[in-house]
Parts: sequence; C-alpha cells; structure tokens
Amino acid sequence: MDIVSPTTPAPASQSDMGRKRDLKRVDRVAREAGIPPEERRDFGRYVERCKRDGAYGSPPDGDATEDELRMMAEEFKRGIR
Amino acid sequence: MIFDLTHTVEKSDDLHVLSALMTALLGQPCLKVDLSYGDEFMLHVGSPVAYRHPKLANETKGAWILGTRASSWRLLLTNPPLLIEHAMPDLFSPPMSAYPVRMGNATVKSSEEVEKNARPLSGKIISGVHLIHWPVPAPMDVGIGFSVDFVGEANLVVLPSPEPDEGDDPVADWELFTPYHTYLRVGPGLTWSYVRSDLAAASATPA
Repeated sequence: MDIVSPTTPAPASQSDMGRKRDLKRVDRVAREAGIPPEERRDFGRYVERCKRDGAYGSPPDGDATEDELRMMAEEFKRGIR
Repeated sequence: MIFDLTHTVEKSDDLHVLSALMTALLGQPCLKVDLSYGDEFMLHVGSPVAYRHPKLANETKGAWILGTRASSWRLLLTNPPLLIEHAMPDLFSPPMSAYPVRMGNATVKSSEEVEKNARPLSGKIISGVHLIHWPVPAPMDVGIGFSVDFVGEANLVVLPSPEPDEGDDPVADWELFTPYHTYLRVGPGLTWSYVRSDLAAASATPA
C-alpha cells in the first residue's frame, strides 16, 4: 500500500461524500426563509436537536427532506425571540 | 497594524491578513464543542451567549464560533486521551475498504457522544492558531485548513474537504463567527471574505 505524499490530494472518504450537497440544501432553505448566516448556524443546531428528538426522518441518523427542512425553518423563525 | 473588526472584506486571498484575524482567538477560553446538522463541528469560544430560540434555551453558544462547514476535522484530547475524527482524508492509497473503522479499538460515535467526550475541552485556553495549506483536487488544487492548540496539549485540526463542489454558490470550507455580526468565510481554495452575518445571504454586502 502506497503512502500518498502530503502534496497530493487525498481521496474523499465515504463519510465525506454528499455533505456539500446536504449543506447546500440547508443553506438554500435558510436563504429562502430569509435566515441570515449567524442564525443559519443556530438553525443548523436547531435541526440537529430536532433530529435527536426524532422529530423527522428515521432517527437517530435519518436526514431531513427538503420539505421537512422548510417546515423547520418556518418553525424556527416563529420561535425566535 | 490595526484591524477594525466591524469593517468587511468582500473577497481576498491575503493569507497574512487571514492569519492575523484568526489570532483573535488566542487567549480565549473554549466554551464547548457541539455538532450541527450535517455533522458540522462547532468550536464555541469566549463568553456564553443565549440562543434566541426556546428549543435551545438550555444551551448557550460562544461569542465566537468556529465552524467546519464541509471540512474534515480531528480533535485530540489528552485527559482522557482520545482522538476523535470525522471524514479525515485517508492518507493511504487506495482507500481502506473498512473505512471508517481503522483501528481495532476505533468506534463510530454519535454526535451526542462526541459532544460528551469533548466536554473536558471546556475552559481550556487557546494557545495557538495556525493556518494549513492542504492539497485538494483540481480546479482548486489547494485549500486552507487550520489547527487550534489548547493549553494542556489538546488540539483541533480542520482540513478542507476533497469532495467536488458542483454548481454555483460553493460551500465554504470553514467559518468563524464573531460577536460583531460579522464572519470569516474561508474557501473553497485560497480565497476568503469577512462579511456581515446578520444580513440574509442575498444582501450580505459590505457594511
């Protein structure tokens, strides 16, 4: 097995693939809902907490659909004090 | 030099200025580590700040938040000694088929377990911040990662993801949110920006 030089890009790991797509989906939903970047961070934490509570998808590791994300974005905006 | 942390920079590739901005973290205490949706690692630094949503009322966030976005991360803790990583690039070629379990005693942790294991980092002072040039596939060829050292020899390393970024509006490799309603958005590649964080994305223009 060859060791890749530090000057050579390492291949993406399996757990890395698709993450940018998922992040773009959250970004798109947040942007459509008018959530600014600093609250998008909070929204990400809010979605993570909803995920842990089994509020959507197939807990504990299920991902939210875009419709579920939109619904959570609206709930998040309504709840902000 | 004097940096006005309320002054925005729309786009730059000056890594000396980026490095200088990152030194704002030096000497500050880690508040906590938590994970956001999409396995984004967030290092909360500085004074605790309340969340504005009631579902998060039992948590606080840091005045400064260093978040990984799509980057890989690795956290080295010393007491107890633990190495926790997510999607770190496999330095062997071809990639190991047994990924992500690489060692006999390696286990896959849930995000809650990661947060629990990282609790000893709370209160640790940041003693060093270093930018890392890291090779990524073309067309970017190189991206910017960083390492954060804590008193007591704990250490965080964040490296830009080699995953191709398709379409417009690329995802940043990592971000640093400040208490001044601004944030650093670094990558992909060697470019970065320092823009308002309290304006919706479509109107996030310089103040």
